[in-house]
Amino acid sequence: MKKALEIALGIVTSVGGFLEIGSIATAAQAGAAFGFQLTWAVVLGGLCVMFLVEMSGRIAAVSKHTIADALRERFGFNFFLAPLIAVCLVSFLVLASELGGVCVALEILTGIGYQWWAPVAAIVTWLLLWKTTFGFIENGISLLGLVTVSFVVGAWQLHPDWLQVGRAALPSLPKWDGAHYWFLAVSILGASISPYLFYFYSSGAVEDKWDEGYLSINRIVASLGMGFGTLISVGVLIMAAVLLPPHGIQVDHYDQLPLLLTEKYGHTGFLLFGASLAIACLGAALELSLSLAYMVAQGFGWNWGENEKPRDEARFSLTYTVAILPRPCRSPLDWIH
Amino acid sequence: VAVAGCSQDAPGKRTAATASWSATAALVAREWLAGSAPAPYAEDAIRNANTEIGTLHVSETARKASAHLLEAVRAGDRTLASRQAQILDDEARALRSPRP
Repeated sequence: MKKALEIALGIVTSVGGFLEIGSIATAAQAGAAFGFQLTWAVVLGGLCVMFLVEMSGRIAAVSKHTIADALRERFGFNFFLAPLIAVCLVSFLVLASELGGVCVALEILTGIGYQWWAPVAAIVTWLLLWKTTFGFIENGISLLGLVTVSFVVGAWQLHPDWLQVGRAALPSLPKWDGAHYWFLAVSILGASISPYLFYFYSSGAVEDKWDEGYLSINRIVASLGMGFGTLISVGVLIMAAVLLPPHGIQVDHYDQLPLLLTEKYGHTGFLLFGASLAIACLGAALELSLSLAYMVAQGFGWNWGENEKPRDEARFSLTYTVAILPRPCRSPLDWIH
Repeated sequence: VAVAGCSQDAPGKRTAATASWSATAALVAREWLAGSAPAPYAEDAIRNANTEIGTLHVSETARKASAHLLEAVRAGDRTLASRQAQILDDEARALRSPRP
């Protein structure tokens, strides 16, 4: 019973890890521009993430080492420095876009400009990390993320041509605008295969004290969880492919995204979209901040752990504080630009 | 990015983008008229569409209609909004259809 609950929570958590502003935006762009044709890119990204996440969980369960620990111990600190700098740089930029996503969602829901929400988003993210435990972040926020299932329900209720969707799950050559097609395919893969996910997952496995007994749970969580996340991204793509091309709308701006659910469910859909975007981006921002702190702390051999009190691992807490809190000085979207 | 940059067929892309922004403004206005989208969101989205259409310099009709639509949403004038949304829809359709 306990293991079944862990699997269920793990699957839900994976949705939080998989779906974020990048995957929502790229899936919607692909659906609006090429219909179902780029479904294969979402599926391929999901498959890659499944295998990589499973491997990072397996390393943690068997060796009790996170990926960062394993890299540093096996190859030495000098070798480890290159991925550390690269991942920190990328995570820092992606964190800005996720905090920006939370601000945009709040702007959509309230009509108050996103710049005003930047300090609120940063402080809420930081407070959640400072005050709560790994379990709360892993399960609580991710359970809220189930609101994103509305994309799958919406896609199902639009009655797309499932045969065509199935065919599009296999790669095909573009019929027009090849450069845009491949650009979107690469963007989808880039948004799906985020390095922070593996560092977060292996660190989480060590925090949860996984051992060899968790190998089957790891396999189920990695495949079903990431599969579930992929399904939601495919839901976004299907909704965009069915609803936007008849109007001739391409997705070029975040203002166009709420039309996906609003067109289908009216005002409820509008609220659902705002909530989905806010929660998915908040979940991703929390995972990114933790992932950054994990990587730096593990790299330098500091104490680390979201379940510890901040005073017991001060440098770990300082790392995510430094990553998050300077953001209100400028809005997250300015950082992206 | 380099490949995408090399593929630019500038006039065709600008026309498609203008059609897309015109259709976006019209659809947002319809959602606002139906009570599905709140006024602040509709105002923001239509303002962005109007700015983009103005930058693209393809259709004066779309630029004027989106500006009038923005005023209509600000003033809560539903009749004017509905009329401008129709003009934008027609313009988007005309821009999408192949020219002789």
